[in-house]
Amino acid sequence: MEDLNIHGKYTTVTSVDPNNCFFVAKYPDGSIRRGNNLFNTGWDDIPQGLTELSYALSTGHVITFPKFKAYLPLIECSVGLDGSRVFHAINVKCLEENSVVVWRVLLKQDTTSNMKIGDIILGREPLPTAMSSSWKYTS
Amino acid sequence: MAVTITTQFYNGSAWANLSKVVFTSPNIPSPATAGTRSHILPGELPLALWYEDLTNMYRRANEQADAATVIPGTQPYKTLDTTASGFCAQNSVVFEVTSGECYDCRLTAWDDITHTTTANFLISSGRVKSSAVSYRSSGTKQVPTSIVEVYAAAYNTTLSGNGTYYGDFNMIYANPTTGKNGDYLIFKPYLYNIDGTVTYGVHDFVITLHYSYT
Repeated sequence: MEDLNIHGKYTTVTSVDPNNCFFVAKYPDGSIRRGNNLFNTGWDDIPQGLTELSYALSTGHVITFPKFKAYLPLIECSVGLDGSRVFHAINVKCLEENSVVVWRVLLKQDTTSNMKIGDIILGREPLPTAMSSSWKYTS
Repeated sequence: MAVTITTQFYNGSAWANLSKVVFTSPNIPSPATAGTRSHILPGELPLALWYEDLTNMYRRANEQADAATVIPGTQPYKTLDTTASGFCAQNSVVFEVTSGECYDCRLTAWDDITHTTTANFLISSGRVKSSAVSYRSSGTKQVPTSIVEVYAAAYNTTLSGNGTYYGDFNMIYANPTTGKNGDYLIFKPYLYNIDGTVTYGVHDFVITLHYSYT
């Protein structure tokens, strides 16, 4: 297990190690493409046609997503003018026929919330009006 | 898409990488050596707005003042106005997308590096404010012309965690597709109502840009 502690005045935030969190995409021919880290994910470099998507966190959590028509994982972070950077969540948008399901995978936890690293919050959004080229379709 | 964002300010002759925003005495020559601070107490004297890089700090306003608001639809920030109430690229902190795109961008303030609580006197009492606008433009970075707003200008917005903030909006590296520079997010922070009612002590806080990317 690998994580980082950020000590503030009123709370301590425990975060994943962003250098050791990555996606894993599987393809019909049995090949596997592994992402880099949270700073430079490598998502835009992988081909279309994956059969399975999962995310491995530095804490040992592995989240495997059900099969959808397409995926778009978004790394949510905040950057301070003091140079501090906090990774909050991976919001994996999953395309369905008539809507988008959002799997929000938490990347930090602290004493002010009951939510823990690796917890998943499900949401739903309407279909986007335009599809970003970063969507990866399944085969 | 992955994204690269720079954070700079105009030091009067060139763009410099921002290290810190500082509120301290106006009674210091500008530029001053980075790290210079006065010991004035709340209410004694006006606080100046300074931007600091790794070497020097530069005074950008001699006092804290509301940014001038205008008739809706006009764009005062595209003209040079470095008075205390002025708001333009040359007296603002400038975020610039230099590659890729980012989504759900939000400018706000937190207590400290955890970006988690607003348990800070200045934030919780609504004293941390900012004027901000996101745009792409022709012209130069310091004198933008022919502006297209990415997100409408907001003046004197209170910044406080996920409660009140400037956003949410998307930004792209505009040049390859629009021929314009940007996208930019410029903002000028200020402290509201700093007087003798502010308690003595350390009230450091962190202004953050919150965004998503692939």
